[in-house]
Amino acid sequence: MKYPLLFLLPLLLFGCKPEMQPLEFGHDQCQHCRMTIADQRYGAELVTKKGKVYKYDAVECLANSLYKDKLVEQHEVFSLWVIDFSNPATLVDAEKSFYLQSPALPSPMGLFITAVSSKEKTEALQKEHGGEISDWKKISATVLKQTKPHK
Amino acid sequence: MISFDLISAQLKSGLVFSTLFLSALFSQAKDISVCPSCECSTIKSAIEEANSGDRIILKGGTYREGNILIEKEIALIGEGEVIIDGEKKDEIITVRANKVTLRNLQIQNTGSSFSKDMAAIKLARVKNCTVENCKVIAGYFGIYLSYAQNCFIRGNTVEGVAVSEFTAGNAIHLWNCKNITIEDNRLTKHRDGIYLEFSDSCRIEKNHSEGNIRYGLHFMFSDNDIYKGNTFTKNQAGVAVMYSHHITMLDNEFSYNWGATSYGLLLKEIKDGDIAGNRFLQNTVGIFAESTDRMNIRNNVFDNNGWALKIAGSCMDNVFTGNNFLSNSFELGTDARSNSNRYEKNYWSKYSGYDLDRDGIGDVPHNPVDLFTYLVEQQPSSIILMRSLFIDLLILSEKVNPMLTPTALRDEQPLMQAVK
Repeated sequence: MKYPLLFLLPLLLFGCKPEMQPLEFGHDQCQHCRMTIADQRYGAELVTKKGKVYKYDAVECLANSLYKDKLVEQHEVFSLWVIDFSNPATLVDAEKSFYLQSPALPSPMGLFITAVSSKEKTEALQKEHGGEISDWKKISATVLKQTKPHK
Repeated sequence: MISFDLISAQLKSGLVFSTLFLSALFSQAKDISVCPSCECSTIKSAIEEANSGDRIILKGGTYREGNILIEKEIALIGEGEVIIDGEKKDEIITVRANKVTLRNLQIQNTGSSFSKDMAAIKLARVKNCTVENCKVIAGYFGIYLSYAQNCFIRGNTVEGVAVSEFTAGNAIHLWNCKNITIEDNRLTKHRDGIYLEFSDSCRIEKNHSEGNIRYGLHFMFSDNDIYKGNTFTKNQAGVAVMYSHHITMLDNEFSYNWGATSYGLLLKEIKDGDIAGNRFLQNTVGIFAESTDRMNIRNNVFDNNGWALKIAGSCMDNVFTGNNFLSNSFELGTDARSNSNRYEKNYWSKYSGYDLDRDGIGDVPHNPVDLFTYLVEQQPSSIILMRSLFIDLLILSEKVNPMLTPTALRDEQPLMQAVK
């Protein structure tokens, strides 16, 4: 063993690859509002091209942090993730997810936004709780306007 | 003929009067006893039989009846050791009527669900309710109030099952409520000890919140509330006041909130509040504030914290006066290069100036952000150099000739003696 640490070398190559990290509930802190992320039905994440990971307790905080505070530039964003309400504690692609805004489903940051991975499940939730379905673009605009659903 | 009519009229009125009297007698509030050998052996049948204003007295024993729905103005009172067990299936007591009282009950084992907020006691759209001397054990949510007004939650113990990342709701949860008094409760092992969202004019007094996985007490979008004389200890963080205005915080103890993301008190986007007479003991950060304006922070004690204060550059027009800063590793951490807050007449145990004119006020100003605090703010890993000779020399030279630390940020009149 001439170079005892040589086997670590390939790890360095992986070090910079931008990758999603699961949220650690009860430990991770929201980048935007500083709240500890605790509700397994809600949460979000931003991964930059450089591989930096920012975690959020709710869709509201991700949208505010990215589009209002401009924490990172748009072209630096590698991927956006949200917790799937129908599959707690699991992150799914934010831009492919569906968002139900219903007064019956309070989210951690007060705008009643629930993210769901599939359209069928979103519609099932809508049937049960009412509200409006939108996509990532529309819901982030809603967050910036801070509009609550009608009761 | 006339006299006969008179008599019959008299008789009639007498009859009316006596029926009125009798019905009044019967409609008067009555007590219904419930026990295995009583006429009424279940809580549900007692509720069915009860009229508004009645009291249901539960005798000692364990009751397993699934979800118990109360839609009448009644009181449910335990005598002896009364246990209502939900057997981990459903919500246990659901109240949908005004003026309901629950007293001396032990309510345990709710179900847990992702889509429904399961609570041991849920009070929805009610007024004038009271939950008193109850013990709630292993509830997903403990006591849950939504759209409630003028209620008392007093003398209860709410003990959850949350250990670490475990999923759990809040011990006492207020949603869209008004005028709720929460006092003398003991709250442990939940997500938050007490959680308020869109809840105004509430009073939270003398509670003990310990060992919750997130906050001892948590305000979201709630205004004009007061919390006084509470103890928040060993929670992941003590109290978080977020997006709320006119909150008064008096005489509380925030202690032993240790950890990388821990605080005694977290302030985020709040305005016009009062923080006075509190004690911050051994927290990673005593008060952490972001986008916080016009707060009055006076006569508090910051004892043995990592940072007594971390005040972000986004905070403005806050006044710190008459506080005692005792043996904190850092007195004030900030990313601000200028000073938009006021620090005056505080006692700083790190102050090293003299008082030659003996007026009780140090002759030179005190700068609570020393060079090392500044360094750690810029480069957190440099904390490894703490208490080294090198750092002490740097701090000294920076004091003599400030170049990096914000010089405007200082207490012009530091006190020589701690405020009593």
